[in-house]
Amino acid sequence: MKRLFITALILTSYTWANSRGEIGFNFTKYIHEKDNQDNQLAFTSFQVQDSLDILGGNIFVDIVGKANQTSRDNSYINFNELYFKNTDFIGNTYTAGYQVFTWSKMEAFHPANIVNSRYFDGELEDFDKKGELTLSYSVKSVLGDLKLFYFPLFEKSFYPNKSTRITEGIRPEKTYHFEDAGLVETKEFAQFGISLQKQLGDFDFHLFALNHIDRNRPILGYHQYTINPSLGAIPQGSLAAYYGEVLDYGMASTLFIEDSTFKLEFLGSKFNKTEEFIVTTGGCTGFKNQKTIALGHEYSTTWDNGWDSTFFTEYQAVFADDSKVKRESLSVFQNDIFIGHRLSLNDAYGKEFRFGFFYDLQRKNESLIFLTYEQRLSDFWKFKTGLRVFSHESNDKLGLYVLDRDDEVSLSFTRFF
Amino acid sequence: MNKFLVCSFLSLLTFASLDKGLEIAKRMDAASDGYVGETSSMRLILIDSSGKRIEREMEGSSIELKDMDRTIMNFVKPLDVKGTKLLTWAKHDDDDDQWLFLPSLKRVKRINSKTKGSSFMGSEFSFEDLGGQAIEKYTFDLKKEESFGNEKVWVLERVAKGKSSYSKVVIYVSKKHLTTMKSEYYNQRNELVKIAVFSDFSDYKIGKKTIHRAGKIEMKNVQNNKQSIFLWENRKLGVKLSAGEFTKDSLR
Repeated sequence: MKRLFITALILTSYTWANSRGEIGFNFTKYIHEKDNQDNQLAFTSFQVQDSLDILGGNIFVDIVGKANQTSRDNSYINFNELYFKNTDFIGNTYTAGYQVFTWSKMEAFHPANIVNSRYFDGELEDFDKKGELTLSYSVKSVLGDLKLFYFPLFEKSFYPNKSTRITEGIRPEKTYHFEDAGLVETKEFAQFGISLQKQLGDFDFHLFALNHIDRNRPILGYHQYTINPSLGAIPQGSLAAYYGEVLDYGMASTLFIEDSTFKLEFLGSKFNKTEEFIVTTGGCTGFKNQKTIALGHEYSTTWDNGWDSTFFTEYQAVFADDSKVKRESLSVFQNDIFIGHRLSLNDAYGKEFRFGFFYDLQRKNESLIFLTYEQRLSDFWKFKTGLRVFSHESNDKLGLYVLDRDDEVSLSFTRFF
Repeated sequence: MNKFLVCSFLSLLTFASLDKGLEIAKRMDAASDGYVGETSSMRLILIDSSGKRIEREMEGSSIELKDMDRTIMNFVKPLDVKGTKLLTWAKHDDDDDQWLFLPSLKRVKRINSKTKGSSFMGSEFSFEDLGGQAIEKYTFDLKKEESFGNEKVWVLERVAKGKSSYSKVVIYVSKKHLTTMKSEYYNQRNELVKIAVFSDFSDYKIGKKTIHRAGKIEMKNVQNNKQSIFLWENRKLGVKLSAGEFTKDSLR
């Protein structure tokens, strides 16, 4: 915190150019009441962004925070971005500092969003990202834009506490990842990657390979346990989040054909350690080598009355390299389809409806439906309301079971500045 | 035989009006060429059918290159879209490329520029109206000559060679300044949808050349009675900008 404060003091002595920010007042009511869990949620969130021209380059800042009135444990403040970007004398670009990367091009499924740890307190289908210390160097070549990455630190994800409905409110007390010596809690870990982006007419693609600690698929459980012949593995010690070193490789691409946009994302994940050593609620498990593929189609049209509609259809499949592994143990969306519609009324208030329907093609009656409506109230204020409904039938503690009976209505007022 | 002669004569007239239309379009193009680079602040006023007004603000910059014009629009107001940037590469002989930077998501999204009819910021201007208007992408047919206000104008019918949300656009071109004074937009059912009137012209001197530009466009939708007004302020032409400032990497 002291480091952040000193940095903030230095930066405030310069003139900032592109400041923008928002403060949101959010309220969520869960339709079904549960004992020992939040039945309503009230929190204030904020985001401040700015940039500054300095030393021939630019500094970018993005601070985010959340103050949770119903549960102080679920509050945080963070520099999501604080980095310097410059172009060298041969026209190549380098960056240094805390950054967030959004590589996915899809609306609902995001296999390509592999960089950055997460705030596991948002929407299950796309948790917000947390900035990570990154050094990058970008080279423009005939092959495309080649980018090299180095991440010297492993940034821990944020977990909400026990009373929270989201992710069943499991907050691990410790975070481990592997090094040669075994499980460690240190932040230092050399992670690196490479990416190539290229546009060929109406087709563009982004290839990437990253050797890093997988921030998106932690396993929550215990690595210390005793075996009881009749009860099985009995965990000992405190609940922890385990992160595995992984080689991730894949692509994200889009192709425009007339009014349609077709999307394809692929991710292959090869973990450094795949032994089953963690006891979870589902038994003993470990990191699984896997592949994810997602396909998408987006179509936009303008109605005679001036309204704009965009229709989304997406599909995602996750496969374990070991065919004995249950696909649904790898991802909530292991064989799912998404149908969505965004309707913009194109009036002065920017009125907009969004509807989305996730449906599991493999698991019986498992779905997630959301409907939102938003509009400006003035040049400064915006209002948003929404409904999320979950359906879950299987009793195997997989898939959407974490959100069973967590249907919610929400309301937010956001002030922009 | 007489029918054949009449048809041939009409065909020759059509070709002649197309040739003349293209020639005028080329002269318009040449008159607006050579601005080098441009920066300006823009206001977009939206007026609904009941007369209620709401304003948007943007900052824009453009650069003129050999095979395309590149433009960045940086949204300033309303505040919920502040920091959103739209980059357009308006190519002379191909479809435009467009990217949108969304600051809250930190995402640069490539937009399908073939979806042309979408409204720009809830206004009566569509992305097609504000995109590249390279003459290579259209046919121009000279329909008549008449007066518009104090100006003598050519009336051209412009039809897109490729996909468009309009069946045709009728353009009134000032003979004196070779600039558009008025445009009438017809939908695919050939019904008049919108009328744009250009005004508040200023002359900008760049070297030995003078470029005549409208400082105001009033777009009225005759079907829903909504209106949008684009106003340019602090416009500077001849500004030296770098092509590197108009790439998707530069959006963030």
